[in-house]
Amino acid sequence: MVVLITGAYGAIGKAACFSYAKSASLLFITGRDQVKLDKLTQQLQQNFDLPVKAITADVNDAEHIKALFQRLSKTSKRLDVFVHCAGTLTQSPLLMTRVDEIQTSIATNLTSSILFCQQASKLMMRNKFGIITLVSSVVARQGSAGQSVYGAAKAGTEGLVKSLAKELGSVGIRINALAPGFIDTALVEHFSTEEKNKIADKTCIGRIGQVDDITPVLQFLSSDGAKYITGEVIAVDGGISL
Amino acid sequence: MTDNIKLIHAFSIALELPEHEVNDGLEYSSHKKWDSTAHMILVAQLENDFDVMFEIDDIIDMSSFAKAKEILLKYDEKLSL
Repeated sequence: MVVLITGAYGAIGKAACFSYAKSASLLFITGRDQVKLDKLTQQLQQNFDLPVKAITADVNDAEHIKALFQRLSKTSKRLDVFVHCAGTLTQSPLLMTRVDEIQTSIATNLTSSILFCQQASKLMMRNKFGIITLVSSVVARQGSAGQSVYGAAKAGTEGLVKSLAKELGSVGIRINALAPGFIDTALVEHFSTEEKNKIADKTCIGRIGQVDDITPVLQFLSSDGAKYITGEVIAVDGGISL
Repeated sequence: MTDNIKLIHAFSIALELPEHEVNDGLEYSSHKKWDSTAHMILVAQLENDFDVMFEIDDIIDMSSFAKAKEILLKYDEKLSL
């Protein structure tokens, strides 16, 4: 199984890399920072006996994405699983958000998903098989003050999943999204302990999420157990959206 | 296998057509088997068989068998098509 993971050294991306390293035959990882990618590659190779190929790319640059897939297709000729973890969260009221910040957020959180799906699905079609999982957010459906642009981009991602499921199902490609709730990662490190406790109280489970709440769901969506699931957005949020 | 036969073979597999039906007159949307889904499969088949990665503009422009030859030659002028 050939797997590509974007945003590889982010909290969810890194956990996904370690999780897929147990089952993949070849793992491609990508991110903007060569040093962080190299460090992660080293960690993966120390822990697992599989080839790991790190490709530096900026998900906001269409040429980088194209070059990444050129390298990937030269190396493996196939792609079975694509997990798109790259994303950024900016927190500011809309009236205090500059145009360039809006464009960057849309580019990172939505346009990159579209461009990666375009390239990944093309490669997957060669074998009439593929599984794509995008990372959305609970904010797409629930909203969050200060996250209007992020929420708009993630809602767009969910729309992408629905339409691509219809477009790609007949050629053997499944696509789903996972919508994490409040997960304890660097994206939310600016929240105080008190704020985190308040959010935990809003969940049914009574705690905020951890990255290891996410990876089993990613694995499930790319497993045979999910072979009849496509076009779905699975909330992994401890029930915060209820 | 010549490049032309390879191309006919790729079209035949992707569009699920007998090879004798693959000729310069074959056009996207004018043949019932060459619809948008078959077009995606065809692009993947050609990329795989000819080891190229098409630009999106070329995927859109690939409107006939004759046009596919022209586009492939842009990526590899040594092909004998």
